[in-house]
Amino acid sequence: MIGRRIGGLKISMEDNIIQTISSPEEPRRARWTWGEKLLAAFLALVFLFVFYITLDANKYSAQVRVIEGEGRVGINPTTESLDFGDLSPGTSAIRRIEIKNDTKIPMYVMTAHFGSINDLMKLSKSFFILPANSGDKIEFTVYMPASAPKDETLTGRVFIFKIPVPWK
Amino acid sequence: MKKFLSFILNAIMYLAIVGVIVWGLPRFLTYKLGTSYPIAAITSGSMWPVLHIGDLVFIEKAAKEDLREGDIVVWQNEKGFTIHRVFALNEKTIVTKGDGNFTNDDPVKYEDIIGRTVYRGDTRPLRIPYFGYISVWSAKFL
Repeated sequence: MIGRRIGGLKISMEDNIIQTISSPEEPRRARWTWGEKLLAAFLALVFLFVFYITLDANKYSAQVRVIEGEGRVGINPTTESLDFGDLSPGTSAIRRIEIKNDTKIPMYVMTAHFGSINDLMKLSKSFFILPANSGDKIEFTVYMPASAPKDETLTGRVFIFKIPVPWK
Repeated sequence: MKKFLSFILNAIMYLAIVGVIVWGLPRFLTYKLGTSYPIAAITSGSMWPVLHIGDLVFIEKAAKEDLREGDIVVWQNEKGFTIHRVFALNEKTIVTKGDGNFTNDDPVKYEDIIGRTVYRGDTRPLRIPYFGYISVWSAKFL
């Protein structure tokens, strides 16, 4: 026994250790009930589904530069991203994205766009069903209002999600 | 039994809080801001970048003599409500224009003005981003 006496009280370190180990409150591993197992499996499936949809989404960066003057449009040759080039107030530019569904399952197409370009960008359609083995186009239009800040580049991101809807 | 009673009491409390917010807040704002339309949701980009689509703004009553050029006012017309900036003040009408527009609106009579936006500081209107989408979406889908 390792111990020392302080005043009239004897403190034993060994005793303390034994007391901790032999605690009746030792936590026990609870068994999973059937309900919990089902819920866990369901949540895992939902997570995998959302993960796959997000991973499979088409992602584009969008940008437009505001230039001075009226009725001036600078054509930008980039076609990889949604680049609307240089626009002066009062002008607009259109970009199109082609979506294909090569699978045998209809897809619900859902678009989301964020960033400083967001308020200026209009989409021809945001939510629609793309039948199996078919394609469609989404038209993105940016109109530059009179209040656009000159020489500023407005940017954003566009996500196109495709969710399988076999029952459609 | 005690647990059940506690649950019921909690549920009543939460419902009461939600009720006070949903029913009481608009009435409180109407009383405080002096107009029947104290809250407005922005549904177009004509006031961009000062106001964005989906913003929620507060409207206060403004008498003819309180209005200044540059104020953002709300008025009622056959299309519903419009929120634009005061461009010029005439004797019987107001000339307004959306910041993002190139042309002025048709003159608006003073009696059609609902009020002007509540300001945060001197120049920027007080706005709650995204909260107006509730109104925008409900108008779109319902």
